[in-house]
Amino acid sequence: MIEFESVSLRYGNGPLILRDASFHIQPGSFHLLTGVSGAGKSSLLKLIYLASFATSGKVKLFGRDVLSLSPDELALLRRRIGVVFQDFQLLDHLSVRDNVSLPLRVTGKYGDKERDNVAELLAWVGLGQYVDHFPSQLSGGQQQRVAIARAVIARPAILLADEPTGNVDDHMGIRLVDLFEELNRIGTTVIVATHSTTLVSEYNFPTLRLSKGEVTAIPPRKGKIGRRGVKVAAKGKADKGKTNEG
Amino acid sequence: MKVKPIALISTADDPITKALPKVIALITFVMSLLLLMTLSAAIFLTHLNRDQANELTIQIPASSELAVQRQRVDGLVSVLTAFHSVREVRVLSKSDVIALLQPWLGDQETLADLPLPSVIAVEVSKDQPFQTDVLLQELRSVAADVVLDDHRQWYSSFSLFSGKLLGLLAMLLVAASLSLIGLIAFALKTSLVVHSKTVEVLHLVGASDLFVAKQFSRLVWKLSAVGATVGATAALLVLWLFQWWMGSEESDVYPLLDFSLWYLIPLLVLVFLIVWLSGLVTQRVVSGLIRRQRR
Ligand SMILES: Nc1ncnc2c1ncn2[C@@H]1O[C@H](COP(=O)(O)OP(=O)(O)OP(=O)(O)O)[C@@H](O)[C@H]1O
Ligand SMILES: [Mg+2]
Repeated sequence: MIEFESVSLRYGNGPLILRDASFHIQPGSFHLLTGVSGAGKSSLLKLIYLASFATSGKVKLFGRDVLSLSPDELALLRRRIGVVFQDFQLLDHLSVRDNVSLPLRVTGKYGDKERDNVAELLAWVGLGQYVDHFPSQLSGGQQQRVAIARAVIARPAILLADEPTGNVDDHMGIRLVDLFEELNRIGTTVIVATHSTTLVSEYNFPTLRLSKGEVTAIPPRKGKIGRRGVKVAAKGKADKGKTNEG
Repeated sequence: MKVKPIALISTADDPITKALPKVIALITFVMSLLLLMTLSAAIFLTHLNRDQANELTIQIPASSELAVQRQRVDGLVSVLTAFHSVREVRVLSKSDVIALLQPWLGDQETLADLPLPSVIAVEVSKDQPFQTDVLLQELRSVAADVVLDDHRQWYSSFSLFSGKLLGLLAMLLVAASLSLIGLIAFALKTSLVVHSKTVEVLHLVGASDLFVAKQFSRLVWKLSAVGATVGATAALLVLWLFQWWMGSEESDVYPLLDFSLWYLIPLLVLVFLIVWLSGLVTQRVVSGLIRRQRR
């Protein structure tokens, strides 16, 4: 589903952010992407959500080399990828409802039913009373939840979340990761970038660790996948071999 | 049910939102004035054509002997009536001639005492070819100093002139349209920078270039509809005021602007064209700029 083959990335003449990174991410898997601040987590995600392109090497999504795609094909591919941006990327002049509805609007399929879905999802992330507010009227954590709602509203095949629990309390953090797991259970491929040690220690997920431009795949610890001590739907059997180092 | 689309481009802090309606109002104002003037010239010409194209006037200067003058006039009339393609011959009465001369020669009482030239109005058939030279030759055999005033000749040179004028007006309209296109393109360049975040986010959630471009063209459509309506209305008002100011005595000399459909429909078409053109140009320019940015 997501294939990196000897991918290198640098900005301008700067240092290499990624060095010969190779990995495959299988459909339906759930990965954490870890690394210290500045390690290049956001940069790696950008390559997947097609906001930037590799300096060298090959990135393939859904089996297609991203460099071979026309602008219209890129747009169609982006619709299958939901992204929670680290800086949210909400549009300040649009209401919460309109921000969340954007991925539906761009497809031209936004009707009464979709409108209800937006309201429902916003209620689910605890923002039922804020649908007509503007992002600037919300706290950081609330904005983050708007960003998450927007990322998942169109039921993307791939969900990329960049530090999605950075601004919310533990309880909401758990709820959000539960949402991601829920989506993962119905088939969404999920990658969560984080430097939160809680997330790493409390949950048991296969991990991509980013350090000095190198990507290392770390298989999940023994035992249940997902939140520790909490039963998670039978995912374990499918997990082996979901991460192949290149 | 589909939900009504909303404006995805913010209208605050946008150079386009502030300047474009004004600029478009101004350009529309100028174009409307040109159009209305062209129309009234064209309508004036058609009236002229209908009224005068088939008329000639024949004049002989006044002679001291009234009887001699009358005899010469009779001679001319018989030549005229005999000429093929002449349909009607009418000798103008003394008061008609005075009325004709009055604007040039001053008040009636002085004129009444002067020996007056004779004027014969001739209507020729529309359908048959008419040879002015042949007629003139025949008339000269009766009165050597006869003057033939062919309205049609005057009309044809006038219509040649007005044809050129219409061409010039059309060129000015094209020039105004081109500057409109240039201005919109220029404004959009800035606007796209102002809205770069919106454009980026729309792209990231899967919008095609066309979708993004349409957001801009929808905005420009609205703004130009406002601007063009204001501009066209102002032009109508200004011409109307101008006419009112010119006063009623002279208004039959100037082509009259009224609020009939002959003026209103072309004006509406102009407004529609300006709005349509603005939207189309916006879509094209934004698509082009996005494509260039990507490279
Ligand atoms: N657009 C850019 N132009 C130049 N350099 C950049 C750009 N974006 C990121 N970088 C650099 O790339 C490196 C990796 O940045 P990145 O944002 O990917 O790190 P990160 O792992 O997401 O960090 P954090 O955990 O703080 O979000 C940093 O050194 C950063 O300065
Ligand atoms: Mg980051």
